Amino acid sequence: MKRLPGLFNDSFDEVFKDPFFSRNMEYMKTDIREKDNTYILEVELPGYQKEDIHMELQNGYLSIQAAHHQVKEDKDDKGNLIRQERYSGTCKRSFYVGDNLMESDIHASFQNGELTITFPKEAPEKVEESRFIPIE
Amino acid sequence: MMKLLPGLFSDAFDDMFYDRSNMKTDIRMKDGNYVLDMELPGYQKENIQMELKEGYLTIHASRNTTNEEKDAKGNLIRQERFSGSCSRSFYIGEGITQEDIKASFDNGELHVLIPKEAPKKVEEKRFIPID
Repeated sequence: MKRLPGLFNDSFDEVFKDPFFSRNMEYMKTDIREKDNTYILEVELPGYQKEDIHMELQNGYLSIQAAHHQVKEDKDDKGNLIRQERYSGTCKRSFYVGDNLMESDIHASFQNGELTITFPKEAPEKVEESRFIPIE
Repeated sequence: MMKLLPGLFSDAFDDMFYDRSNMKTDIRMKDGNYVLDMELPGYQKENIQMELKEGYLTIHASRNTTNEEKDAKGNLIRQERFSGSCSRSFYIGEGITQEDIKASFDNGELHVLIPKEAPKKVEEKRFIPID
């Protein structure tokens, strides 16, 4: 998903045309908000453990990957499957955040099956040093 | 959409023309219990209610319903997630009472245990003393 500052021209149609959401494969749904010069991403990851979720920043792309660590005995222990609607498996999603971000700028927390990611809208500007030239 | 065991768990939304994308539920059978695992990420336990009425188990959940909650979160740029109230019902028959059903909520997952048959009441033995 491309994301450039100020270019979130979404109509409702775009969500349905988005190839990320093909039929019955809706997962890692994300809300994006902006507050106090910070971008806030909320990603749905119900049923995953914090240890199963990995985030990576590379080439300006922030990637979130989640996998279930299901041991075979665990699976049998759960009982006989009658109906499955939920997706169980590995999923990954990337967001373009630009090259100005570092890993240290990004903060994430996981609670209630929801991964919340925050990072600053603009990289902190480097203060230009004023250089005065003395006049003799 | 799959039909479950005849007469059980007939979902009101079991309709091929309706694609439901929230409150997804896995149903399993284990040790004589039906186990429901429902996805409710980002919901608070206080905002989830379960009700058993006339054989229907209904789960209501809501998040982000008030304007204060929405404003506190910041300006919306893109929304994919559901916000508001939602509910889903499962028909489990009249043989179960609400005390028989156990539920827990963890990691955005609602876990419900429904016995297949109501636990049998223990008959009290009545001894008659012989004088």
